[in-house]
Amino acid sequence: MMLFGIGIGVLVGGGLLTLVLKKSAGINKLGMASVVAGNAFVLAAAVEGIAGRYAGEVYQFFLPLPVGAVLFSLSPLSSFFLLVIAVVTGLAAVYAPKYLAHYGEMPWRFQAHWLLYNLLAASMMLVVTAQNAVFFMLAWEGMSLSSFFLVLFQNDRTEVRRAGWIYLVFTHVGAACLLVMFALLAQASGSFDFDAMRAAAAGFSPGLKAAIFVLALVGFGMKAGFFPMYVWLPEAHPAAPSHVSAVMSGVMIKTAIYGIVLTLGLLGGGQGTELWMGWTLVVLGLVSGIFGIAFAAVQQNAKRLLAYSSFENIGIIAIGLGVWFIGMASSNEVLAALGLMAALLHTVNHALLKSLLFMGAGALQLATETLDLDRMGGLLKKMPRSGLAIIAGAVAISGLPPFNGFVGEFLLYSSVFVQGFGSSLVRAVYVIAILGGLSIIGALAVFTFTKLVGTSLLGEPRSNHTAHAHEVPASMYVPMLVLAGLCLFIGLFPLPVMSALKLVLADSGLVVVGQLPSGIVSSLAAMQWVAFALIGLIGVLALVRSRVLSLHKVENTSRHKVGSTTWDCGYHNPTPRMQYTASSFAQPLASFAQPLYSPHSDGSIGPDLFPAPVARKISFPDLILDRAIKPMYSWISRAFETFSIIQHGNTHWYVLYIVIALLAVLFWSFVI
Amino acid sequence: MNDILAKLLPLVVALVFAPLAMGIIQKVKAFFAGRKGFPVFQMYRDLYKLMHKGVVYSRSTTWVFRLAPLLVLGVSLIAVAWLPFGGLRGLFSFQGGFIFVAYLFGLARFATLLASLDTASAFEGMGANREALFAILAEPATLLAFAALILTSGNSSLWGAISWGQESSFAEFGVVPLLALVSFFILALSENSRIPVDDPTTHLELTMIHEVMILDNSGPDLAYIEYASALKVWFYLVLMANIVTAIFSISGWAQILAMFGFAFLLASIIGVVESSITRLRMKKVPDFIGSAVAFALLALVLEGIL
Repeated sequence: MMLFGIGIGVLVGGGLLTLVLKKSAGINKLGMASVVAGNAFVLAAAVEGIAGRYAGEVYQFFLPLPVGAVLFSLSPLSSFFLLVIAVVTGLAAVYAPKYLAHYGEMPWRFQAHWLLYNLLAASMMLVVTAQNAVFFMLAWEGMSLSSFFLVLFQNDRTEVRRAGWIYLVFTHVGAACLLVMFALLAQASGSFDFDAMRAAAAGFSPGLKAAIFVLALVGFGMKAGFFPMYVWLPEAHPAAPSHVSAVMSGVMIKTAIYGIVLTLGLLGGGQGTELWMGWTLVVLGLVSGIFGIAFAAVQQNAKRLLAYSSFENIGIIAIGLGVWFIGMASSNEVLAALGLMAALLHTVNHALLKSLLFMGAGALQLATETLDLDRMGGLLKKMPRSGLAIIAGAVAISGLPPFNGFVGEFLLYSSVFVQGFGSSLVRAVYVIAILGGLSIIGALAVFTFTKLVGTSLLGEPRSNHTAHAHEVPASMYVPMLVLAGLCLFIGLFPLPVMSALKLVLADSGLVVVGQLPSGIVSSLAAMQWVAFALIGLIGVLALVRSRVLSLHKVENTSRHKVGSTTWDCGYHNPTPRMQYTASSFAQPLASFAQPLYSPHSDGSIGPDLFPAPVARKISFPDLILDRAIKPMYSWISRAFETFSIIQHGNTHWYVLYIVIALLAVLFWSFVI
Repeated sequence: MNDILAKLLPLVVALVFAPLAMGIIQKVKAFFAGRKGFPVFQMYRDLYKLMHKGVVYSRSTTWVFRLAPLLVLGVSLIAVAWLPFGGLRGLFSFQGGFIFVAYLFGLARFATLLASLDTASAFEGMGANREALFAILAEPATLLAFAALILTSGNSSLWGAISWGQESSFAEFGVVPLLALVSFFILALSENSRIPVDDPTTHLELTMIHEVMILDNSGPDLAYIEYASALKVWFYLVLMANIVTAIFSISGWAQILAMFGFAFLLASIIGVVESSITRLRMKKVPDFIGSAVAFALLALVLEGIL
């Protein structure tokens, strides 16, 4: 417990201490050092917490709050989230100084940045450990506000301010729902303490439970980015500095997943669930997953693409939560355990690989001064290490073996073999939803991430900047390689990770873990074996290839010729501009699914008699933001414009309004 | 020890006979075209020849391009080692194995797509694009068809389903495996780049899908890729032959013979299909693969009702 306290103290203190320094370099170094040091303490506490050292203990910190007390605990589940937060915020902090350096010398901005960054890390850690609703909401708001200001790092740019504004609106609508939810819970249980709520949960009426579930879904969904509340993700992530996007997308939106798990716990675990809640989450997850990745597929901006993909992965996590709910509601322990484990495992996986990819996008941006995939290309040759990490992340996020993304999805897939819930027709629908939904998501992810890697790292450079790009400093690519290594480790050794998850959930009261179904364990073991066999096979095939190439060498002529031109169907002088671009890659998909994308194009490739320079720009308006929310708001503002007749700026008329209003009130009170 | 050797048999059979099946397909096509065609064993010679050639790498390419052929062949080898051959059990079998194998094919696809984009060629980019696009329908069709086949038998692995089918009668097996079979046949055409989705023998790069992606591969690399393609065709032929022998409950030595018979018969049918219809327009291809999804969905829903 001491460790956790010291960690939070170091984070907050270190953030404040940067205000003393004057030079940018010093500020960045101190900021990074304080995060690394603070996180090391938190990490140690989290490992102890997962092992169950603090299980069942609630600690109080003496700080006067208007209602309730500052209570927190390091239960295994909290510690699990704490671990993820500490690892990702720590690695992102190591990455940050060199990334920030390219903005130039701006000490006060860096001071603000590090103060806010440390506060963001600390408040996320408090969110997942809080045991009192008021304290939870304070930490939650601290997290939202510090991340809002972090997004505004480049606040001199219009699109950044716009993105920050959208994020602020969404996060507060969500917070409002959470306030109502906690107020309802406190009213029903008579206390703001989570323990009291859990104790009183058995007496909650079904209507109250339903209301709380919906409020949690909307409130936490705004932060996590469920359909249709994901809108702020593709706006805020590209606007923020890359390591901030990495933290926001990697771990901050996961605190909302913790929130949903927490809420079900507050409702009394299994007794709190009903079947419709589970199906709602599954459907919401499927829609989020498919829409998210379908929109990611057509993006040209690397970070916008990644943001949409976060929306997709949150969908996969939601499917896992839904499966858990369905399992709980139908008292199917195996299904429930599989669902929750899949959701938590995918939470870790996505935290690792999405922060890796956002850092990768930042590295590409630093090297090429653009995020536009259509201007990149051939960067793997210039940036071998960052490139390797990005490719690993791309394979992992596409859910392909032998990386971690596959393990989480496989757990979800395995749930189709679980029997004993619903009728056989319900089960057929379930099988179709899980298999069909996840495989479409998977195939679209392959489409999206081959596009991302293929157009940024492979091929030939498409712009001058890209042609002269350099590898980023070691402090940037090392965290990425560490993350890539973690992704591969979980993929190659899933069984120890599953044991750790079992430990986390064992006494949580959320699910009965018991023995994992033996089918899953033997499947994971077999897949591990086959993955190593595949790696061995690749080695053997490589050996055979180099052997035959050297064996059959004709006198004096090497059979291994490197450095010819790509064979472009007989055309002997191909240029980089002839390559397929990210936009051309996306075009067929956009035309097949036209109603979904409704692409908007400017300029023309008109049939002029003589060739002339043409410009054409295709953009894909967001389904919800550009086609639902914005029209709705403009309709509202038009409706209210009719009231502008009474608002004309003449003071004496305004005084007259007051008189009329007063008279009306007086008249009304006489009548009554 | 004998057990392991027995489990390796499906792999050995595949390694030996996959190129022959390709020879049969082209022989049938040659027959319908009124040509004599090259010998059925031509592909063995081609592979031998390619293994003795040198290799050329474009200046644009990186290690990704060199790794892809290895990965593609490795995945195909594992897939055919997994697939039961009639009464012969595959090298490994576990709950949800089909999902793993489908995702391994996905990994191979990922590698092929990246390798083709690595060459910076417009044509190869185009092929990669189409391959990635059509996979969006092919992947769910594959998983749903497998699931229908396996769940209808109350099992959780393909081996379980097939050995169950061989013991029980056709009537018990019902219509579900037939629908899955139709789905797999469509997938066999689309996943192996056959007509009507893709024309493996066309000379026009603009209309290619798979062949255009490997334009820059040469020597042993090309041999690996060609062999991997033959193994993938064999994978689908044996998969379908498995379903057919299970439907007719053939077992014992007759089953081994029947497996070969059906596999080569299906290869000839692919040849007939390729000779009798033309390649679809790119815009129509999703409809064709979509029908595989539809059959698989129907199979699963019937499985739920029956």
